[in-house]
Amino acid sequence: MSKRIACLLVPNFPLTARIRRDPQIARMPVAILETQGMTSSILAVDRSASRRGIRPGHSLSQALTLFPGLLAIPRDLAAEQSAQEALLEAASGLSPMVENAGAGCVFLDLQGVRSERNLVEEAIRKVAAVGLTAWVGVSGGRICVRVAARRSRGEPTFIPLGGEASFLAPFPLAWLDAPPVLIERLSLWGVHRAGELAVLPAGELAQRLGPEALALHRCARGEDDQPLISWQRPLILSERIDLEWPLDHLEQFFTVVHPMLERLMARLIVSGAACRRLDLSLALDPKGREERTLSLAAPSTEVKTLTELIFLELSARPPRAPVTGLALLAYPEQPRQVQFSLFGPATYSSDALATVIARLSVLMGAHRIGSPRRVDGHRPERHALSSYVPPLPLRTSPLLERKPLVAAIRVLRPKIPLQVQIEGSPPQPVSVKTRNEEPVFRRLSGKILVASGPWRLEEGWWSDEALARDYWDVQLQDGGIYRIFQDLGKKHWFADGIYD
Amino acid sequence: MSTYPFSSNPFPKPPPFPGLGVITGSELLRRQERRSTWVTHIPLLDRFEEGGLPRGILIEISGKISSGRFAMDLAVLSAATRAGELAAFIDLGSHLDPQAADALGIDLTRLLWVRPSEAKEAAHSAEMILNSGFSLVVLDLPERPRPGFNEGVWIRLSRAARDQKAVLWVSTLIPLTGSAADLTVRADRSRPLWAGDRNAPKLLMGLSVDLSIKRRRGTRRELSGKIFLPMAKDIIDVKAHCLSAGS
Repeated sequence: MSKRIACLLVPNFPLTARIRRDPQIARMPVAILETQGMTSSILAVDRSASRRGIRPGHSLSQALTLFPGLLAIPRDLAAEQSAQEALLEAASGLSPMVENAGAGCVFLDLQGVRSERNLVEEAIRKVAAVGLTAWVGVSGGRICVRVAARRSRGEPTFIPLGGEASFLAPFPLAWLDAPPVLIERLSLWGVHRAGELAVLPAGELAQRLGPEALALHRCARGEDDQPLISWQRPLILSERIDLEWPLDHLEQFFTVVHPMLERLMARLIVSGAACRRLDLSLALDPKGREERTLSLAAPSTEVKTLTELIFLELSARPPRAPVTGLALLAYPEQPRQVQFSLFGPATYSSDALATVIARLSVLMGAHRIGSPRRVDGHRPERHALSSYVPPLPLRTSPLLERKPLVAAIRVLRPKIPLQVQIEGSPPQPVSVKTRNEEPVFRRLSGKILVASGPWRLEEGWWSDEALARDYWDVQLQDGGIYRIFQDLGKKHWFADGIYD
Repeated sequence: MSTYPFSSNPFPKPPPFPGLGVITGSELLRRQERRSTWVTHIPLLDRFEEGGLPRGILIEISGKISSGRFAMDLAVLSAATRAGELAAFIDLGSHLDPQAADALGIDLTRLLWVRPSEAKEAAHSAEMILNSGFSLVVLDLPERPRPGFNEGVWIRLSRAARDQKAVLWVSTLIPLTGSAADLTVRADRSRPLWAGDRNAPKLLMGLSVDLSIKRRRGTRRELSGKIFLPMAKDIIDVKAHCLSAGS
């Protein structure tokens, strides 16, 4: 079965990637500058600048002479990389085999596709969803399909099977990505177009001009027997930006971050995923980096939520220097599918939950919020926290077994140091007093009316963190019932709980 | 051949779509109403509310140290999480013992434990959590808030609970919420029950608490009564064993 390939080509890629980053420049006469050493030359121009005679390769001074109102902006390789990844992700949602064919170009395997036209239309929609424009061609070989896409100018071009050579015949050899030296030699022979090259005998051509000419001959005939090289989807999606000047205000920063997040979330949505963790990598002025991590309680693609979280994070801990570059890295995860139930308990919104957890973490620190976890051992004060990831809501409300009410112990953290008077035989605590200046709630003082104990607790006698305590339940004059203990090692007294 | 039993209507209307699990609209509404109330498993409170707490209210429970407030906080958390609801415990002072909470039947995976450092932070957290879709928020304030705490926050929290159809359970040392509370529960000084004769070693068996419940809004009902909070049986068993071994 013959190969069928689609090519998604983003026209004027450096400029399109830059417009994807800064949509406000889309209606201005813009040129992208590439700087090499001390010289700057035009790399790409938009239509209005092109109409005024500015072409790629012109120097900046030439371009400004032709049109003084030209907006010349430097090339942003980070934005181009993000755009290329976005293009590949959009394509990979349509075909299992996708090849990265360089800046702004992707090949898709269409083997076995019933309706090529439907798939191409879907591809154009997906690429538009990530903020790019694609010209599309469909054919049997790489060079042919790239030429078809380049020529299509927005209207998809389909080359039927076996029609590749006749399609390519009128195109100049430069369109076939041939080396300039080879094109020059062939032009000396009077061979200028693909059709003229295709009719030459392959063996003699190879004998005279070498294997490069043979490869070009095969391209001119529309032959391509190399399989596509599969592109592997990265585990982390990123959007990067290099800024022309450093940002030192949070408001300015958000004018940059918000569109970046929109682009990143659009890519996640196209991939059918949501963001579980977002990393910020900030390049600082004049050098250095700062990394921030935002963990979400539930996967989310809500730009508003994520913007708010970044705002809270940076408000609480501003970067230590102005920011000259930024990378957002999203860790994708399958979004939670919540089925609402008429009869089950009320369900919750993953996004709202993620936002509130993150906001609380920023407000009071991540170590103060989470899901309590059991800890093995015997120390009454032991506790642990883990990330709050509640299970999905129940489909129906369960019939609950009635749990009897029991007295609980309010654990005192940290434990309260005490001065305890002991009398009698066997010795018993008879009065207590807090040693240090404690908050009102943590002040214990007075005669002990009832003392019950001691209950000995020993743990870890074989280790450096050995624990040996004698516990007492005591009722004070004020009516409070406390759990107090004596540390048998240091002979100090503490209160570590209230029966409540 | 079977015949219908003699009745005024020998041909009663069969249920719609028998065997398919399809129910009528009126039955659906009845089930929704049942769902909108919520059993706390605190006997006096459930009796007062005739079956369970309505959603969208602020309940204040106040009482001094050792008045059983904390046990009731945990009881409502247990009832909510076992019913599959999301619950948050805003624990000013970090008093929760996860092991004890688990033993009381609290589903720890559904419980969000928030440990603020001051009352203002606790109130702010409660508002955020209420607005994010939690069914129950328990706000435990073990001491009187410091001067400067905005008393008006209770009105805002009450409104948030009503809008979100959530229950905000505020547990305080002294009454704080004023007119913002829909229901107030006063836990008066408890009496501990000690086992053991005059000279024999004592053993704490539980706390007896006087509760009085008042409704602030709508009908001005009141209900008072006692509840007994026994110590967990396994703790009593261990202590009794130690005492007998010691004696």
